[in-house]
Amino acid sequence: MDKPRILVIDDEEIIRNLLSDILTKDYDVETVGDGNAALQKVKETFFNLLITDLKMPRLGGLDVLKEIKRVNPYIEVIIITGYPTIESAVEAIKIGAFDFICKPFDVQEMKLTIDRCLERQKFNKNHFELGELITLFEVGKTITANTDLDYLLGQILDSALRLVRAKRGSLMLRDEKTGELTVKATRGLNEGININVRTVSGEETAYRLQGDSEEAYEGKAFLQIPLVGKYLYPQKDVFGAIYVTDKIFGGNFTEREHSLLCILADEAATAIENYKLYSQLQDKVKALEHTIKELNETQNQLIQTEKMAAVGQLASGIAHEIRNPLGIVMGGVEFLKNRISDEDGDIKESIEKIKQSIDRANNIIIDLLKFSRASQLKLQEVDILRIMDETISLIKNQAYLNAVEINRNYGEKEIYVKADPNMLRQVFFNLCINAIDAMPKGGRLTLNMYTSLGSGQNEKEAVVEILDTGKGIPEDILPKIFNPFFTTKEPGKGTGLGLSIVHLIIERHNGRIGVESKVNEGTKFTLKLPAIGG
Amino acid sequence: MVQSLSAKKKVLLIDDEKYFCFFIAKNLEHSGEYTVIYATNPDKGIRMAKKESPDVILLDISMPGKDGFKVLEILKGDEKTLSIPVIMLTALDDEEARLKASSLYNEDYVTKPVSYETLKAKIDKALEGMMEKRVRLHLQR
Repeated sequence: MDKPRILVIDDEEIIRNLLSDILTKDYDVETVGDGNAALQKVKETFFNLLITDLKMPRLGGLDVLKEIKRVNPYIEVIIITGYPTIESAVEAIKIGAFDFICKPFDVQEMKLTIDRCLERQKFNKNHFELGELITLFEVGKTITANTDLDYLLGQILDSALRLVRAKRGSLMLRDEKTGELTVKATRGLNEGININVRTVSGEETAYRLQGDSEEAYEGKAFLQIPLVGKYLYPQKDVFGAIYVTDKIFGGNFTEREHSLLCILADEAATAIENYKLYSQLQDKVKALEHTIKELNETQNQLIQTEKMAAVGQLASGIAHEIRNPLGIVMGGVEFLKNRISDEDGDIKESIEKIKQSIDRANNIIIDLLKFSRASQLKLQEVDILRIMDETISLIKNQAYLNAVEINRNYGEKEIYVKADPNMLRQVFFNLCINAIDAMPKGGRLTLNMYTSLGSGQNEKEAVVEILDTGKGIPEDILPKIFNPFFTTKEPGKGTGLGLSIVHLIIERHNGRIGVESKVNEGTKFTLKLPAIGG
Repeated sequence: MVQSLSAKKKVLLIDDEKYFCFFIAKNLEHSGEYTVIYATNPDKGIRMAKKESPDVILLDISMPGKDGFKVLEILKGDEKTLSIPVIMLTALDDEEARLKASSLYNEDYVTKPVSYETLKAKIDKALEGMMEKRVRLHLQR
């Protein structure tokens, strides 16, 4: 085990030699003749104990004590003097001297005092180091538990300042795009410093960036520790730096403080990398959630589309099989009708009912066949405003009869989409007729058409809104209205296929359809189709 | 020779549904304006068309053996039946079939189930067109 190191300062050579002689056996002793030389020694080497004369030329014992404590806070000091006063003794103890011994001193007493002093020094050093380790441990805990970058950087900087007992500092990170260091957090720096100012890199410019003087830099009154990448950034790549300056008790930073700050910087680098990884992970999770949502929507659309396409295929398959017997029934009914007299009123009425039923069955076939046709689009570039105008000319009589006023709001002179014009006309017609039917006591049918930016980047969408002031659709029914064969109309009044055909046609055009409704207020259908020129 | 406008028109119905043929024949004949003959298979229909020289032919598209378009092709390829107007009958409201019927041979098209009124209107329209053609041809000669 190394012997404790003692530095003796005295301007009297005889005292220096005496102390050296009596202590060399048990301790590693060095002697100097004045305060400045002592200060230099302390800066160069670690000493456990300083024995200093009180009165010395140039730098006196008390001044030496102050300076040396700044450089080495663990050092213990024994003052020796040939001119003891109460005041100087009190001052020495205040500054942190362990004991005050008068010349001439007893050798045994001196040895005992040195032993006690070294015991305390050992204890104090352990206690001090434990405190630093606790600070480091707490810092590690705090900075690794953070998920907000600005807060995390502030925490790291505060911890660094606390650890090395500095008043001011900053934390810089490398800008991902430019590769230059950028100040991200500061504490106590000169006012007017632009936090986002950039610097090329490294310590050459760091002090200027912080607004500190060149002298401070040259005097090494600061520490700047790089933040080095481990797994996210390339190995050993410096991606940032912690800068601290202006020690609370003045003076320069020690090797130990440098080492402690290096440990903190290592923890901080990991914490920052973790944060960045966490952010990247969060972004990926968000992207994944978005993809899953899109996949689910696509899957639902596919299921719906497949369902409807299957209905369409089935429709064309069964249309032939059903219409042939319907043709026979129609012929047979008319055959019977020709063979009854005008007096057979009941039979005539029954025959009419049968004919109506044939028409009803046939209408179902017609609607079903529209499904199969909805899958076979003949796409061309069409102006949907003109298609809506054509639809309005078809429905305006019906609107007039129901006392429904039609309001057109076209946001543009023309809106082109790639679509099958017949299919779109069918969609507009179905929705408008439904709207008019929903207003038996009159009302207002509003047709808004405009373009907007779609969900994808730079995608223009044609938006068609069809609003009525009718009876509205109850909330429990709303999710079902696009299902095939779902109808709230009386038997024979509707096949329940109209809206499902609309849905299928819009989907086949890569569009979307939505509905909002409030009972007794009205219903709004919104169609969105990819617009040309988006 | 130009046929009298008041004479009963002879209608040939070619459809594999026997009862459909029976009722349509009875209903058209009930009006007193038409005589109807029918065939329930395509080959017999073609033979009857050549032999009976009907004024108009009602021709089903979906039939076993030969479909209506094949029969139409044969009828239009034969001098004896070339000028007889044909109304295609089908259970499918098929846009392509409709276009094919009208664009290939300028013939009309009707969808089952068909009411007497609709069928009569289609037949009369076809006959009128035919009559106009014949008058024009006669005047040219």
